[in-house]
Amino acid sequence: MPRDLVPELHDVLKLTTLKHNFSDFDPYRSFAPSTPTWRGVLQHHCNKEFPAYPSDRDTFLLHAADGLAANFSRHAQSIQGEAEWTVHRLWNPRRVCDDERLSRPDQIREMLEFLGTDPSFAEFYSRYERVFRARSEDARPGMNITTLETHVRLAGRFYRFLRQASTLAVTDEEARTAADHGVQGVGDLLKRKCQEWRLHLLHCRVRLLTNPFRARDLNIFAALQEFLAEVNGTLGDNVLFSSTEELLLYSDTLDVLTSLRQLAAPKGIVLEVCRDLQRADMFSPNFRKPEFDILYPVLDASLAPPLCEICQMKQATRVWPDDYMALKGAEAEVSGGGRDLLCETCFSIRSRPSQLQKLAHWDEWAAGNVIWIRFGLDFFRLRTILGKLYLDYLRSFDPHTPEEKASVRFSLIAEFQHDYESCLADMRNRIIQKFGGERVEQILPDLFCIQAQAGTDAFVVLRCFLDSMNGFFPAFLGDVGSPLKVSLAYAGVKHPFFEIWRHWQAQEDELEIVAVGHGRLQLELRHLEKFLRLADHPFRQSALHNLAEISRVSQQLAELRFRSAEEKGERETFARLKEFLPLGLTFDGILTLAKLARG
Amino acid sequence: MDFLIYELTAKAIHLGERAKGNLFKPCVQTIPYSAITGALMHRFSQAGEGGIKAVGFLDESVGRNRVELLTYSPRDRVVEISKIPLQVEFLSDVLATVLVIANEATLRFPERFQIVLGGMRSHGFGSAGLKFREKRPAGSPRPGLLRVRLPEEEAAAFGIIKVQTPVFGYLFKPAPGTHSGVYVRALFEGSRVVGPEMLLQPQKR
Repeated sequence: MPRDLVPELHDVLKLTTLKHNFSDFDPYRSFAPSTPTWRGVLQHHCNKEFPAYPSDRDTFLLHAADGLAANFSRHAQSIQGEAEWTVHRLWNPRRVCDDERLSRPDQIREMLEFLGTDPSFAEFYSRYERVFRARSEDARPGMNITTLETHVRLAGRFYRFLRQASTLAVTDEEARTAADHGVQGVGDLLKRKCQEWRLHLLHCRVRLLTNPFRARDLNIFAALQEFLAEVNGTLGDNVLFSSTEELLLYSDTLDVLTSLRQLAAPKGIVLEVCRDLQRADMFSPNFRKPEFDILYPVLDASLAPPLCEICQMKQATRVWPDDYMALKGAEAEVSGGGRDLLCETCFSIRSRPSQLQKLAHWDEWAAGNVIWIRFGLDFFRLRTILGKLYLDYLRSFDPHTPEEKASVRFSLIAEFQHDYESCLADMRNRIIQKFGGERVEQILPDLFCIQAQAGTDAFVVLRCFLDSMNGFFPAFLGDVGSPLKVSLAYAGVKHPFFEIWRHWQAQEDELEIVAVGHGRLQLELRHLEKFLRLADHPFRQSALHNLAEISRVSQQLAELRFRSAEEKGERETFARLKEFLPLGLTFDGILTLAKLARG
Repeated sequence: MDFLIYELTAKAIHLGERAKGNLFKPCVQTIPYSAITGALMHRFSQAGEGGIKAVGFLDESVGRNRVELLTYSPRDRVVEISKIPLQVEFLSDVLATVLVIANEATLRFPERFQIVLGGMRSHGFGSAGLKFREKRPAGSPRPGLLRVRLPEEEAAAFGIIKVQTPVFGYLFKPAPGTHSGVYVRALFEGSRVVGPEMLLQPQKR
């Protein structure tokens, strides 16, 4: 029994140097498989240049999914020029791939023979991963901004979604009747359906109800990862983008909100939803008429005291640690004093066995400091910045390209996500390499706690970030701005993380360093390289110490001293510190830097 | 409906949330209905139950409403030992606006008066002065983001005609004549509502 049509394989011919419209396919015709998947390869276009067009419901839906997953609007094509077979990464133009397409007849025959075995996408991908990653989805100049892999994976999601969507029905009879009228008939049906179909686009911002007040409450981050895994598992085909802070989903009905609420509530998570209803033929990441929801767990109109001390949204029915000790008996490990009144959700999260073994150990290391670092991402800023980068790219072909041509589509967002995840993994490896595994606790893919031996370790972490950014997203270090945000806090190991977390929630700057008890500094990422270069200079420690100590008595006096720098020993150090001023640092920022730099 | 607008000033106030992990007691950065109404009810007890309804918000003047930390160790006087040190967040040099719904009882408030607001009173926190600024009609409601905290059940009393996207939390509602009460669901800052301009965050230009 043949496998159902595998939508991700609809563009396999793009892995070769053969023409996509089969015009030079004749020598290989005897190797053409006879599977539903091959039918998808043949019939997913509806254009007179192609030998076949959708003939049934499956191929019709594949054709529709292919359009939704394309990196450009099918209605707006004009740039002429040489084909670009490899992908141009808007955020990393220097990263150039080789053209990996299969060009030799034996390679093409082998691929077709393998396709004839009716493989799954995973099986096929494992063999041709390099080509999928290097080949641009669309080779036309200006259109080669996403990989074939991103496109086919996205098309697969849209295809499965369209097959199951209750309100977007296409019957087999409709598709076959349209096919009887040829290309025109199928084209008309698609046009009509795409005008009728409505899709909800939902941007969800993740908020934690269970705030991390004690070390054990950091379990909320494990719960967050479980939540994201469940969303990507159960609603995987509806997810267009996901990070630990944001989700972008689509659906034909708002029932998806109920599913999200059911997944989020037991994990102590609230979702702030911005949604937009769009026509399928105009489906894009732009929210034209946004509406807002907040997905809370069920909240009673009134609650008898006591209120949960963590979330303050439920009645406290548990006592920590008494109930935990009664539950666990001799196994119970409780550190820290005091009793907390908690609701069932916060209690269950705190009662989980902690995955963060190193952090628990550092807690006993009373004299030490730690660095908390989080790499955040803002989807809306990302969309704007990608639009600017795309416009610059298009204008490199035609300086008169209008702004509306540079529309950011879902495939570009998905392409970014791939590199974003690789960048986070790279950052993690660099941090571990610099500090050693024993000094690094990874809490989320984008949140780390590092045992620090000196304030200057903050600069080492930032150097890791900068190196990763240079490797993956050099464009975001330029004037266009960055959708990535860095939050770094240098604090005593016993300092409540909650305070840092709360502060991070309100951060607006691209980079903020908080030295708890000493101050903070903000910086745009375009200045980071220069900032670290200047920070690497050896400063005269006594001058920094004097400045820091004077500021404890009077900040104004410290600023006066800094500006005048009358002492001989201070002149050179302060002159060097003044080089930070053009980077946008305030005096407070300079002072924070001085305190970190003195160790 | 009219609002009586007062200017609130205080050296230091602590409008507390619950203590977190027995280590940290955060301070809210607005003046919730429960805190200001409770304080006014206490000051003008003759106004009667339900006679006073008020909310407040912090002004954004530079250098005012600084968030500071006080570390102190509550002492157990029975066994003569100090407990674990507690960090208490508080607001210093407070400047805020208080909106009181004008009615027969509240129109009799003096031009200037003192109230005691929030917690940590035995440590000198909470003494606040109120100065009458003006009486202003609530005006036509418009959509926007709420900048105050008030119980859901009091929204209509403040002229909120529609709650579009609520940001929920809970506020304490004392039971009259007792030291107990219940927590009632409340609309927090950031809720999308249609209501009087004065309750909403200024529109960004």
